[in-house]
Amino acid sequence: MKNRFFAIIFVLVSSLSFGQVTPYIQAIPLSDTSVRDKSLSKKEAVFKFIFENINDANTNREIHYSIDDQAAIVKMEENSFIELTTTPGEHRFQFYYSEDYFEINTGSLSIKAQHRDQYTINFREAIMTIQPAKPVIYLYPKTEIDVKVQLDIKGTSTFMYPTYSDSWKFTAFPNGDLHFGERHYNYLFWESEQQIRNPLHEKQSGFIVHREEAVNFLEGKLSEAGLSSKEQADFITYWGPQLQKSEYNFVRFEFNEECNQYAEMSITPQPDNIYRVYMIWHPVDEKYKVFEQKITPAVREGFTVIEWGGYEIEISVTEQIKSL
Amino acid sequence: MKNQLLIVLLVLVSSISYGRELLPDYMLESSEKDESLQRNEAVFKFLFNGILDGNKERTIKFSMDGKNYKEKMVKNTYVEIQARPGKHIFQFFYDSRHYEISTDSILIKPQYKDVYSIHFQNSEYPVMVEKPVIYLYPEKPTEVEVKMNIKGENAFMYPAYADSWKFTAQPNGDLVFGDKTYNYLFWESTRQARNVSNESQAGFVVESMNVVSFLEEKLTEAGLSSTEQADFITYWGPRLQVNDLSFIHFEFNERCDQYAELNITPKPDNIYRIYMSWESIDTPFSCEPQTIVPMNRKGFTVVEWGGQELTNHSL
Repeated sequence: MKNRFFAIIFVLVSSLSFGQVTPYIQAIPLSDTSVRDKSLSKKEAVFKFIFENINDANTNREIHYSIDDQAAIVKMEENSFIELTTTPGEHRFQFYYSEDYFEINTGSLSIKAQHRDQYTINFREAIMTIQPAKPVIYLYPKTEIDVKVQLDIKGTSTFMYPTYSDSWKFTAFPNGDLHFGERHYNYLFWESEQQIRNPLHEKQSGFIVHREEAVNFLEGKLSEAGLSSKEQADFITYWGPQLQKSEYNFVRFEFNEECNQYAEMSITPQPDNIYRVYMIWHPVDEKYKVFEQKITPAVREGFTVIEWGGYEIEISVTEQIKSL
Repeated sequence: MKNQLLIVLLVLVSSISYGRELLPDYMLESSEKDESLQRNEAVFKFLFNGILDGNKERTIKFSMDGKNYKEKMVKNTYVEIQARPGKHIFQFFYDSRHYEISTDSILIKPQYKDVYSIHFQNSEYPVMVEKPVIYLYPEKPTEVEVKMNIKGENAFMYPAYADSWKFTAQPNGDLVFGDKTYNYLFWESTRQARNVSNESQAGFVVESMNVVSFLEEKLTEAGLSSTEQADFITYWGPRLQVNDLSFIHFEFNERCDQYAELNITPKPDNIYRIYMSWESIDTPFSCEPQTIVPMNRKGFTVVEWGGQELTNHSL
């Protein structure tokens, strides 16, 4: 019986509002109760929705909802439910509380005349596991110099190369060579896994990129960002094949301080310029309009450090269901 | 939500398993008495499903109770085999692209005609040949043309490839395409591969925690430079490290022609290719350690590395 109060079908999809994508859960809930109320007219029926699993201290919660695509915002009664009077028949609802929770779509709910049907809507926190993939760090000092790089990775480090113990210590050369004793490298590499809130918010700008345009798109944006052709090649040969797997992708970049949410870098001696660019992306089914994101360019003056990385947003359906 | 303009379905986890499907290899479809048969006779009819080829004249190789036969399929789909009533064991082999099927001991009664369906399964599956990168080190700045004959589909190549890559290679490994400079040429493709039982191959069983030191050791033995090794290890290391145990097998030089043939003008003095095939395994097994073929980096040298993950096919 417990399951009766939960949604039975979850289809994880993305919903588009004003050109941005936020994941939502589609649920066809079963009503908790359905009781006749003769005080209602024959043309009336009342849905009561109880909102659960919202974990915040807000005592004045408002819910964004839509009924049959008519949108409205109302204050929750007793900070936990709303009642909507409507006509008997089929209705579809959507509920959105905040960007910290997945939006919920009910699908079609049927109600009889003079009835009060009660549903429990379980919100799900929009937290997901991401794997910042392949951040690589290049260093270009003005003169041969001993450098120490420390990373404060915000998730769990899964791979670092060359071997990292407390820090990377090496000699950097103006051409970008990093000498660790006998061994020479072009970059430092790290990878991690961490939990974050859904990083895609409303009104976020970005790009919709077709599979066939992926390489041109990346070359264009990375040139604008100021990455060298070698750095671009490392980026494109890593992400290019992945962006080509689906016809369209939504792509958004994060720059500099924004990347501190994945890892903070501490470099001694202090570089003149540190530039970080991360690409966040996920497949979408079709092209739609997004506001074009402005690319923050790198300043490559003096001792310059460049880092790029990124991750695909993946929401595992099983994970969603498991935690309900 | 607010104004729901469009709903975009996210294609989430489309994990397609290329392993063998969980269909029975063979199944009894019908068993009927046939009075036209003698009391010491019975007939097996085997219907063959799952053969993926356009062959209009299929021949099936089979053995009954250890004796080998070869027979043309009737209507290109079945064979009928007369047998004595009693127990029989069959094996069916169509070709190397399909798994062989062995039956248990199956019983047939006198004057009966038993119809079995035989489900062949394709033993080939798409394998992504990943990230082969090619480095070129001429002795002096040289105009080079590299042509690839890739034995696969959906190739991703970088920089842009049109009939060939043409560029100026520098002794330090810089590849200059006009105003752009690269460290390597990149290609990737998907090809159909035969399922090979790795247990019979020489190779290495490597534990997660030893992945990096293992790769550094073998690649150093092979003669890759530390920057080449870093490209290799940062690509494959994270993938291998998530497995408790991996089986690793390398292929060298001509053996890599099965993935792509390289045609380089002017002809390099030495071309070295190393591909790593690997799969996640559950239990360690003893295998003959593979001998690493070392490279010769004299003169105009070309180095290529790549690899592929094999999915485990044995059920």
